[in-house]
Amino acid sequence: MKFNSFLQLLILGIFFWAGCSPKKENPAIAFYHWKAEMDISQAEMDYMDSLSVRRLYVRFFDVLFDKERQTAVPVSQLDWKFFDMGRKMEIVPVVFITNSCMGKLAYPQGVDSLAKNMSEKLRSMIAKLDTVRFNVKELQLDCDWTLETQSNYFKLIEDLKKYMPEISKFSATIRLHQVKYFTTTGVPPVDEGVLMFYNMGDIGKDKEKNSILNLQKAKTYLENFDVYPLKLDIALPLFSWAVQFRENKVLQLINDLSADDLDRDLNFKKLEENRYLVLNSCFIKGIYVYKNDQLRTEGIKEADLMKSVKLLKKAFGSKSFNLIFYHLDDHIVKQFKPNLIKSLSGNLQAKPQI
Amino acid sequence: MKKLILVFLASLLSSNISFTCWFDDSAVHYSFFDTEELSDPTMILFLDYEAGLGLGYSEKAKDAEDANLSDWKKYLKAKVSETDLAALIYTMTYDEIAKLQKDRIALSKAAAGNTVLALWLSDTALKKNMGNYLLFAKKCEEQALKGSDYWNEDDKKDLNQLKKLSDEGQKVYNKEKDKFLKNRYAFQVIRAAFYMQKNDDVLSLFDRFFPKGTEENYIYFRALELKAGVQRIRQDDEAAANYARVFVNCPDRRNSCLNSFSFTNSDDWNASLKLCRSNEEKAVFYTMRGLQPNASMIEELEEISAIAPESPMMELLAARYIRQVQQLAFPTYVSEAKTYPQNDMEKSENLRRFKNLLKKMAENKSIKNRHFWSLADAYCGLILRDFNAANQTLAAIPANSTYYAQAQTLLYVAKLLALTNLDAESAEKLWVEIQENEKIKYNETLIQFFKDVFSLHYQKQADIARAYLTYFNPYDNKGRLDLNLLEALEKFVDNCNLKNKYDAFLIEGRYGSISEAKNILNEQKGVYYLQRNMLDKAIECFSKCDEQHKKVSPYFESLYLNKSIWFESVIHPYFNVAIAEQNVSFLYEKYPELKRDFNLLSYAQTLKALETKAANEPAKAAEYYYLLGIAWYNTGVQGWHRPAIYYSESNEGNYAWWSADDKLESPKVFKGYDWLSDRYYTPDIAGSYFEKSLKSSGNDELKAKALYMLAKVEKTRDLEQTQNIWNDTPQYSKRYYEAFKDLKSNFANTAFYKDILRECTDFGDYVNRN
Repeated sequence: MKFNSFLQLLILGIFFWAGCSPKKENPAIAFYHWKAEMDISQAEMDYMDSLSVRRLYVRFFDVLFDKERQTAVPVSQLDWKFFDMGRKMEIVPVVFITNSCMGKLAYPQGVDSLAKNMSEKLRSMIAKLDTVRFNVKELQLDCDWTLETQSNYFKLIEDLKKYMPEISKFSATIRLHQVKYFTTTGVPPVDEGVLMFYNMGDIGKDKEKNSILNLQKAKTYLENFDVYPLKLDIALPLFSWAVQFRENKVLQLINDLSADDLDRDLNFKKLEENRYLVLNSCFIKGIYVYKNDQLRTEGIKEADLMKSVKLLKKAFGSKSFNLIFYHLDDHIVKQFKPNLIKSLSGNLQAKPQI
Repeated sequence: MKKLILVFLASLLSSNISFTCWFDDSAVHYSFFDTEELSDPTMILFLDYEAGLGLGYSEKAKDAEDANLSDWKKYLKAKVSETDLAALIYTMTYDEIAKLQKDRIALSKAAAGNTVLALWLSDTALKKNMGNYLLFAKKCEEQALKGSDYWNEDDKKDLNQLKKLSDEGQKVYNKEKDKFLKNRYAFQVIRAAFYMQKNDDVLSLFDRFFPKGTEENYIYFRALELKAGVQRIRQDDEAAANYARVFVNCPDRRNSCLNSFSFTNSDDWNASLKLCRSNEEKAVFYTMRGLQPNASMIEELEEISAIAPESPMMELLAARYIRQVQQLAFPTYVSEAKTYPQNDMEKSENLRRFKNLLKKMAENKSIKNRHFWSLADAYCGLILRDFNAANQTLAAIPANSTYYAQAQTLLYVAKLLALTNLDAESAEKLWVEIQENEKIKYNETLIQFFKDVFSLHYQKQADIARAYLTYFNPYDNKGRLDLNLLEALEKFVDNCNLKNKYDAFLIEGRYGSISEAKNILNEQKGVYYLQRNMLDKAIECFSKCDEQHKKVSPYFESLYLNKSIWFESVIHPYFNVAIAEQNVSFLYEKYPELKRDFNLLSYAQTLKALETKAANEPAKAAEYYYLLGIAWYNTGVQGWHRPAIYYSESNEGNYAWWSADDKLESPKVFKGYDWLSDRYYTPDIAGSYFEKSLKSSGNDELKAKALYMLAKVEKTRDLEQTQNIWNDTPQYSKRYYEAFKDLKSNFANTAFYKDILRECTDFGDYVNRN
């Protein structure tokens, strides 16, 4: 009897303790893999291991509109070379579809035909994955749809669901404005969304300091997260680029180009912080830039990532979210220590409710 | 050549954001320079070339001469048609060719309609040797085509079959005596090795089959392209130089070559450039770089002009650059009332640099197509606002030149661009010229540009009436009335000078006559006031319209005014019933003193009469206010009779749905004008009448109705939200919920309450949730 009472007390105590201080796990960390080759280096694998990454969002191919064939075509298909974490990983295939391609498809036949083609290609690509090392449950679509392309894009998602019943979860990338104005832009018919918390500034604006992560601008968009109908995870940026200008007009982005690269090169002259003049026409990061072009380098600071998470936490209120970092790369592994990533994730953990 | 990679792959991977700054299909602009008028038509398709996305399409572009067929034709040394050759080589199947080889009767029949087969009939050895090669080539083609279905992951080349074909080809090659066919077998064998990714074999077979000194003909360059492919994989500097040679010599392989070679560092570029054998090949290097996204075509043009000014690629790059320039200089949208050229193009240093190059080309007597360069030079001169020099250059282009018509157009464009102030005399002169000059009067682009330029000038001169009438007919923007504009138009009508031909066009061409202009403007002003419930002013304006106008104007005598505007749209029995059949004009029967003319004037007078009755007859005020509320709801954004006073489009005569997405497609020169932004609507007018009805009524049934209608009016306050089908949790105004709450709490015993509980989903949901 005494023993039973003690046991009852113990059980009650455990329940009480558990109820007062719930032990919550940090939100899951995942990465995007956005390269043409799946050839993960040891350093990248160690990095993911140290962050207990269980899921990798992998760009499988892009879909563009081929002018000559007048049809949507897959390009830059992933070439799977090597990836072995020594444990099972969840792979989320991602397909990037250009908005102009969505706009050029005939509704509904053209859209349906694309969905059919995509489903067959994805199924073949997924079937080639080693089932011991990888599993696929989710499919993600990435398209910066507009009001004009919304009906085509949403139908594509519905059609893919129809053609790929084996996929249990469909997700889509969501831009900031698509949350704030969701009553106008619509909500894609997916199970979950991933908010791309980057590329938010005005690239073409001369005074823009960092179009990748402009928190002042972001603040003006952080509305409606409490009522947005989809569960959202967050994609945070871990990349740098340079914006190329000619006669004050934006031309293009040059990926992975930092101020350090330009400081070391005599073909460039620093005009001001993050702003460079091309002195001699030359190649840089594989792109040919011309004399008198200007480059504005943009990157990510740790402090801005921390502030981003705080802002997002406030905007999401009681809703939880996971973090996905864009994107996995040797260069990123060196620049952003695992502790930073862990602390970003740790900041999301809810305070114990005592 | 350590980092030689496919350029399109590099560009696609380098950024996940597309920046189509220059070649955005949606950026619509005026084009006064026909960039497809090139001396080498095979270059036209490259005007739209985008790395990795292939070529564009053009009606004008002639297909590149089929070098393969020309090569066969040369071999046959006889008069055979290319069509017949194409039928045999491209269209006929393996079995059909085999049958023609074996069956002489079949061959005789087919030879009657095919000049190549006629040769076969007379030359047995040709039939055997050429036929055997074609049969072998058909088998090879089957493998070559495999893997071209991008969507099909299983569409792969068959390595075993390729091996067999390679072995068979080498055997036949050794036996074949005919040099032409021998080289063809050689090409097929090299291609099979390439598909099998046997890179060493490709190089050694090329050297064996095409040793130094071999005639460099079509098939040689096809094989050389395969060699370059292997060299590219091996990062050999010679790859790009070989691609350049193929580009120069095989027009049908240019796209493939362009997509195959590119550079990522200067060392590789310089090393490869040195290996080019001619300046024409070097020009390909600069062209290739100039065709990359965001290249500076001027720099590349300068490089080419220094070594190969006659290269057809000069015209190509210049035409591509002109496309960029005119897209920026002459957009059909403008962001401010600033005349053309837009985007400060006249200040562009790069454009000035480009123009210098064009001038040099136009003056270079060794250039054959100098009128192209003169026209381009003048065009850029116009954009740089150097009108005198441009006009002189254009005037010098003779009438027999291909570019004469374009020169005439540009001379008129120059006059429009040179305008600093659009006075009555200039307007008349330009108007008469575009009406009467045979060379330009049918040029739709120019006419549209004329409208833009005139409108922009008039806006700059604060002459909004002429700006508007240059563009619009009187009813074009009838749904969006603006008092300032209407008054400006009235002033113009009063003061215009009909002796001036342009003013005469604006009145007679747009309105018909001064008197009709006044009628239309009075009607539109009346509607403006009516929409705002300013009844006295509306009645005053409508009264000014003459009797003839009242009879003929479909807007004045609206279909929507004569029947069911007083219909209580509480429930939906009439949804599918045409308005004409909805005989619910009880109001007129009940109150015979109300006017029954069913036009804008009588409607305004009826509203006024009801207002007066409500004020003078307190016992019935609630009823009158309710009716006024009903009328305003029915002519509101979700009412069934919106066209009655809003000039909305009808929905097959039944009811007019006003969509929140219904944005006006108007010329962008008027961007920023309030009267184009949105249609006028406020729910406050109907709302205020239902509130008044509620306050003055002692009847629960009427109160219940007024409350319910009040909620319906409130629902139209945020139309975007109301009409959004994706929105499962709409939030309406506070008054909406208060009205429903009041209805549920205090009027549940009314008959009306039971009706709406049954008929109205919104109210039913509210009652269930609360």
